[in-house]
Parts: sequence; C-alpha cells; structure tokens
Amino acid sequence: MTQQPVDVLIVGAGASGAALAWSLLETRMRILCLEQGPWISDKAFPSRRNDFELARYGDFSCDPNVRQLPQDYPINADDSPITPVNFNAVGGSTINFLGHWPRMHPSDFRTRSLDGVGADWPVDYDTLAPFYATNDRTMGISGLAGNPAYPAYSPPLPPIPLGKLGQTLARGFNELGWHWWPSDVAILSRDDDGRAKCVNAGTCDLGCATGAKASVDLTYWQMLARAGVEIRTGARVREVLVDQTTGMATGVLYHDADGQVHEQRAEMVVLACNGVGTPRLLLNSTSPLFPDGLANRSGMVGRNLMFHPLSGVTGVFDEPMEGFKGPMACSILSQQFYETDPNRDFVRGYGLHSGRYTTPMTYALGGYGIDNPIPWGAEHRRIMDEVYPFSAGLTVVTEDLAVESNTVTLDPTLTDSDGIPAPKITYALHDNTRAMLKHGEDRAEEALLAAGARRVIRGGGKVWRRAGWHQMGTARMGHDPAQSVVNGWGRSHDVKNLFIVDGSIFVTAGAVNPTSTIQALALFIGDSIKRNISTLFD
Amino acid sequence: MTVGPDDRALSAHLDALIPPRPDGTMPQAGDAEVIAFLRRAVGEKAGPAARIVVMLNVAAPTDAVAMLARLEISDPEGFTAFQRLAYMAHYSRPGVRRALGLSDQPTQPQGYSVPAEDPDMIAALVAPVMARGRAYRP
Repeated sequence: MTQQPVDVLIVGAGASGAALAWSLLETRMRILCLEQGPWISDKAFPSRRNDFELARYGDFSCDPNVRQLPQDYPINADDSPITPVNFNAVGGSTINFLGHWPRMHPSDFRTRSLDGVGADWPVDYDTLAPFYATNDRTMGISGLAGNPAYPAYSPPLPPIPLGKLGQTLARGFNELGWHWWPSDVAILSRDDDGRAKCVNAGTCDLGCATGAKASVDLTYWQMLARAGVEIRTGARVREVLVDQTTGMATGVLYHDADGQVHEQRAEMVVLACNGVGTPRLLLNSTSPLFPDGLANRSGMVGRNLMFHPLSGVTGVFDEPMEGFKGPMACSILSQQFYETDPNRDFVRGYGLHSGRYTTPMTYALGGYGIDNPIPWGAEHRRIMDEVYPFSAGLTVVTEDLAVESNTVTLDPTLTDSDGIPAPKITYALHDNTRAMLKHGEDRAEEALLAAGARRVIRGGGKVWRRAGWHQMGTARMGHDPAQSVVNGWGRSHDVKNLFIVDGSIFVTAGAVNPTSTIQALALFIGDSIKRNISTLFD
Repeated sequence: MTVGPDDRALSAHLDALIPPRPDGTMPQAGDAEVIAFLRRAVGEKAGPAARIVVMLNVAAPTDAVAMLARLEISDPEGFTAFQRLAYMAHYSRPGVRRALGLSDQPTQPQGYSVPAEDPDMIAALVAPVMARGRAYRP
C-alpha cells in the first residue's frame, strides 16, 4: 500500500525529530513523521499510581529488553558492559529521560586540535550557541546565568531548588575550591507557556504527569500538531528505499501496528532514531548500490559507538538528606575535572553530577540502572534505616573516546516482532575511561567528605549496566566522506536527500548529557536546509 | 490481611530476609500482602524464584536465617531472583514508604515541597566559583 508522497519524511518523534520538524515548519513543506510508539497520556504515567516503583522493573523500565512492549525492539548487549536504554513513543526518550541539560564545552568540538584524540567536529560551539538558546527557550530550561565553565549565556528560567542535598554538596565543593554550578535542567522552575512548574516528585523517569519536564510531546509536538504536521504512530520503519539509478532516497517501507507493510514516498528522508536505531536502519537498508548498508561507503555506519560510562560514590551524612525530593538527576554539577590536564593519566575529562537520591525499592535493588540488591537480614535493616535516608551521591560521568571497534551491527538471529534484525552492541571500556573513573571516584570521595559525610561508599570503578542513555557517534559528521557518514550540516555524503539529525552524528561525546546538543544540532541542520534549499540535493 | 497457616513458614523467612524494626514502626515483610504479591509473581513466571518459594513454604520457620544463608549459597540464581521479588513486594507498599519518611501517595501530582532558595543565598554560594574565573578552554 502506498501513501501520498510528502516533502519531508522524518523517522522518529523524539528530541531531534521534533526539533527538526519545528525548524522546517516555515518552509510550508509537507512534513510527515513516522513513530513506532504511541502517544502516551500523562494519565497513563506510573508516577500517578501508588505502585509506581514497580513500573521501573516492568512496562516503564528504561531497558527495552525488560519492557518488551509491542513498539520496542530488542537489543543484544551481551558483548557490552553497558546496555542501551531508551523509550519508544511520541516524545521518544524524553518521556523517561531525567532532564539534565548541560551544554557541551567549546573544547568538545576540537579534541583533535587541542588534545590529539578523536576528531574535530565540522561545527563549533559558537556556531551552535544561537541554536542552543532557541532550543532552551522552546523547551523551557531552568538554570543560573554566569557559569564560568561556559561562554556567557542565560537560561530563560531561574534554577530549580538545590534542596538540602545540593546545598550540602555545594559547600563541600566550595571547601575544596572546586567548580560547581546549579544544574541546567529541562524542568520548569515556575509555570511557563501553559505548563506547570515542578512539584519535586523525584520520579522523572516514570513520566512527568505535571508536565514540568520538557518531554517533546509537551513542547515541540504541541506546536507541530497545531500547525498540522502529521505524525503517524505505530509505524516502524523497516528500510529506506533508494532509486538505483539516481542514488537518491525515494521513501521508506514501514510496518503498521498490525505488521502490514506500507511504502511511504518522500522528497527528503530524515533519520532521527538516535545512536542505535539510526545505524540499525541504515544497515538494514541494503541494495545493489549500497550492499553494506545505506550511506555506508565510508564503512563508518555503526562504528565509533560512544556512551557516557559512569559510576557512583555515596556519602552518608549525619542528617537526613531528603534525596527523594526534587528532580532525580539534577541538582548541581561540578566540571572541575572536565578539561584535559596533562598532569593526569588520562586525556579529556569528566563531570561530577549530583542527582538526588532515589526511592526505597530502587535503592534496595541496587540503585537506578543497577541490578545488585543490597544485603538481606540484619544488615538490610541497618542500611535502610541508617544509610539510605542519610545518603547523597555523586556520579562520575566520563567522556568516552571514539573507537572504531565499538559498534552497532545487525544481530544475525535476533529480530523484533516484525522480523527486522535487532541491533547488536559490541563495546569495551577504554583504558582512558578506567583511569577517569578511578580519578573521579577519588575526587568524589574528597568532595563528599569535605561536605561533611561521615562515611563514603565507593563504586569500585564498576560502570552501571543500564547506563546507555547517551548513544553517540555511529553515523558521525565530518568533511571527509571516507571517514564520516554525514557532512557538516547532517546530509549524507552518499545520498544527497538523506539527513541524520540525532546523537549518531556526534563526533565526540563530551562528558555531559547530550540532549541539548542533539536538539541544537537538529535546529542547526534545519536552518542549513533552509539556507541551502535551492541547491539542497546538489 | 492475616497470614494463613499455609503461609507461616514463608512469612517467617520473609521477616528474616527483611527484618522488622524492633519498635514496630515498619510494616512486616512477612505480611499477607507481600506473600500474595510473591505468589502472583512466581505463579506467572515459573523460574528461579519459584524454586526458592517452594522450599521456604515447607522449611522450618525456627531457623529462617540459616535456611536463607544456605539457599543463597546453594542456589544463588534462585535466591537473587527471590530476593528481588521480595524487595519489590515489600517496598511497593505505601506504608513502607511512609515509615521511611516518604509520602504514601503516588508521587504525582502532589510531589513534595522543596522551597526555592533565596537568590542572595545562591549568589553567596556561587561567589567563590565565579571569583576563580573562566573554567573552560575557549
């Protein structure tokens, strides 16, 4: 069955697809977005249920292999210490993300020039700065202006409360003379644009029923729906089609919710499926012209997979820290060790992120993203009464270096419910990362003790298993078609009417949550498309 | 809900797994509600946890700690699966959250009160950070 052709076909209704669609609205092109998940009403969010914590281990797990919902695809991560996590719905992973919103540093775009590792991006911080700002206004970002870790900018809304936990840790960083700053967050500190401010529920991963967290179903897609942009849910794209004579994309084949296959034709195809979904789709789009996968003449599709490997250190204080109150991953952020220091035994750096703490069940089961239950018996009682309420933690979030052998490929046997090959992750921790984690845990321990912790529990350098929120690098940008998949404004080197706008085009990972940069890039690419519209496919 | 005679052994072992507070301010893990949760969970998915539940059903409740310790060593996969389910069952109860200082209601829409800090207090806290100047490479 063939649908009416459209001008722009976007695959994926998450952070990047929404931003790109919004950017292209003014062109009056006919835009269609195909999304494998459904719209989810806030009334369906587990945070409204009294057994809300159970949802983390069932239908609202961040891990698609646990959720196993009809719209999910399995991911084989047996050969990786980190498993990718996501959410499939209108809004994508912004439905269950935690809303931490730091920008990348200027140096993140020039690691080859500055530090001799990775590659330089074809764009820089200054180019993206106006798009960061536009996106911050549209999403409703809260934060404090004046952060000396960045060129000057002002978040549009005041910061969310630090809370007792954040204030305590901030004093510890001050004691040591280290950088810290109130976190930028995609969570409203006051009512804004029809959305209500945060109620400090502490369960951002279970859907924000208040609407304070800026999932893109509540921000961009509200505007897009009013403007008449069509979003077709329950539509799982199987492959991108290519005219074997011209080499141009002609559209896609997709399965509807009943598994029926449809062809959707388009003048331009935009992939917004993030760092695992996008290479999976490209690798599954083979043809005589592209026998190794679409847009893959460089062989770089699926290579250079980067996460943000992380571990945690906990301080136990004399007073209750009330860590269950407030946005769960956002309070303060130290970037004291973010930039390269030649006196250390690693290049690049990491952040010390102070989230809040978690809810009792998740704590007892080992923590968010960890499967390692705390001890049972008398020790269990002691930990839950004498450690849990008094805890505050720092997470060591490290920059991952691009390594070609860290890959997304197609699993030879595992498939989703439509028979499309599942992605297989092959990933090993870099020695540089291990050194960073060790250094970071040492510094986190110092900070917690300086803040008044009477005891510190270290993570032992063990990375969290379900920490693959940030999936980057698998279809990277670059000027050289032999070393990159898309050019400096997201257009495939090999297929002139194919664009990629998600985290897969990152060249380096930085050591910050990537969504603000993903969306700034999508807006930049949208702007570039508009500027180049008369010669777009040349 | 009270624990029936068929569930007393399992109840005793759950209380050994997650002991109550001596002052009685924490709902017991060996509660009928927890047992019902466990039975539903292992009934739906025959698996490692079910093995442990079957054994604890008939074990002597007088030596629960020793029995759990033996099972932890002899069947680590089953024991961990059982432990996870028991923790999930126990901590999903609103009364347990209340005893730990949290709300016994769904977290939304009520949430918690966290007052915004006085801007002057924040300014004083960040002043030493700003005084050190630029912290990035341009």
